[in-house]
Amino acid sequence: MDISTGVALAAVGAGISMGAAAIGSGIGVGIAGAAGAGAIAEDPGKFGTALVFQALPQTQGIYGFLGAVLIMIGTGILGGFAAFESAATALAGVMDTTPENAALIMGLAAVGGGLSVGLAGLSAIGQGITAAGSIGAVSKEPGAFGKCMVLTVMSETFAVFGLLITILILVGLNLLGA
Amino acid sequence: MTLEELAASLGFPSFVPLFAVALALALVVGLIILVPILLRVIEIANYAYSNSRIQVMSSRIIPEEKLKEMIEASSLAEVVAALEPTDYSPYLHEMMEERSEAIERALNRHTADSYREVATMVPMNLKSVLAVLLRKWDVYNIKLILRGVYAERSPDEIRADLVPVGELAPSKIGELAEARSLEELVSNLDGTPYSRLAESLQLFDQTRNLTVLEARLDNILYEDAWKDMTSKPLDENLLALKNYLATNIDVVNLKLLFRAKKDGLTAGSIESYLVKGGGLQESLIKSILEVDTVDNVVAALEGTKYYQPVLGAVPEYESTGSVLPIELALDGYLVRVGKNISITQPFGIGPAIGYLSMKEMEIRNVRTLARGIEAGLSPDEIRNLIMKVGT
Repeated sequence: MDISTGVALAAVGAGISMGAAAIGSGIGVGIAGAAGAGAIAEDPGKFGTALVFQALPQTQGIYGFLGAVLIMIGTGILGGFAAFESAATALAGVMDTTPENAALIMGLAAVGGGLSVGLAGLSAIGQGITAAGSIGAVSKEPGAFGKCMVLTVMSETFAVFGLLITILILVGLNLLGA
Repeated sequence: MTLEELAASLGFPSFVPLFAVALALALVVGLIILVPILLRVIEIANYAYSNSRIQVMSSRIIPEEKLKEMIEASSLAEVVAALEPTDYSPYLHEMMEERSEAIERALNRHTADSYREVATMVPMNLKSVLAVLLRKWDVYNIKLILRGVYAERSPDEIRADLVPVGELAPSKIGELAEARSLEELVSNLDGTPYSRLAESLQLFDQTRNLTVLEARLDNILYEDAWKDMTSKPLDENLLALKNYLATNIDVVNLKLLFRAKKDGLTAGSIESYLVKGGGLQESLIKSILEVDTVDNVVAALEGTKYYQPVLGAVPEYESTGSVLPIELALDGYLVRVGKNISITQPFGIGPAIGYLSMKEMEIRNVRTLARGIEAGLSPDEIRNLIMKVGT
């Protein structure tokens, strides 16, 4: 049974998951970091506030990493291909197709999963912008910390949804727990 | 239909090339969508550092409560001591002379340093935008030199009062202070936008009133800036600056109109001093020129954004008979506009405009406070001279 194309597609999915999310987090953290540096330049005591807000856009990168690892475990890139083969055989039975075609479908599904968490990870850019604004706002008005935190965390919702969809795709196609 | 069959039906030998083409197409479409977004993100990132820094600087503006405490000070020494934990601390040694002149000179240096600091830290594209605000200090300095030369003060005395900031080179300003007559001063302005002051020399010779020259300087400053703003396509930053500049011009014109109406001056005598441009309709300005009392000017402003701030100052005007409360309300409104720009445009020129307008208000208040205490005014009297952010 040739599952190589399916596995290769899954590798693309894992790459997109981590890569796109890393772009989002990198830019988001960069913007928040620049704002933090500005605040610290004027008042080194603002380091704590800056650090908290700068950390928030990092989570999308973690979700992307998690998505990529789940895809790689599910498709056997980590831990061997036996589970992937059996999952492909099972799916072939359900879909009334060949195991090779089922493996291809599962690989494509992994790409979809990777796109979901990866593109959702771009929400870190928006989060970084809000975090930068929040660093400025909290520097000016320390009492606004909680409210600014709520505003900044809002972007996180979409990244969580993205990760959730990735997990649901992987579970739905029996790639996790097969 | 299997994926292989789908690929074959589309003319591909297998699914893999089809997937590669689809992926490449998705990347191209993604880039087309993402590039403009990324360009905007890069623009925002440019402001992240400077604006956050400016926000921290804004947080150190002397709060109203602290100012209220300072008003109660019984001596200049107490004022200087109250300034110790503020941004003024590096200038305190200059204030120790306990004379309001010493404090004013320190404040001038602080003003210059604040502007210079902001001008240094903002991204390159904002430097030319800020230049418009810096020119105000050129005019401030030229006015000081005009008065100094007119009063036959020595160049050193004049130089000591100058605010060392602006678009003109410090050497040029120093050279202007050397002038021994107003004619020489005006001729030394050749090569600057203010050389047009020569056109008003004849009128000055007839009236011997410095206001003629000072008002002309304001006209040159604001009309040039306004012409600049209305003659080119404006990005978000320039639009915000135009809004601020329009309010600035309106405030200058309205203050002149209120003062003129209070003094009973005729429309003809003040029309040429009004700055052309700003947010108020020309027809409204003309109609205000024709009214004859301060109350009528207030009534004519109904429907404009200046009506409420001015209306709030009318009771004080009526009780004191001075237009100063109205002028303070207008200045306060201008600061409010600057603050609003900093809120509505956090990634751009906004925080710089907001901070500089708040800083100017703070410096002006400390100066008023020092002069008031030295002149022996009561806290209540000083309170009436203090400027507040408008509503």
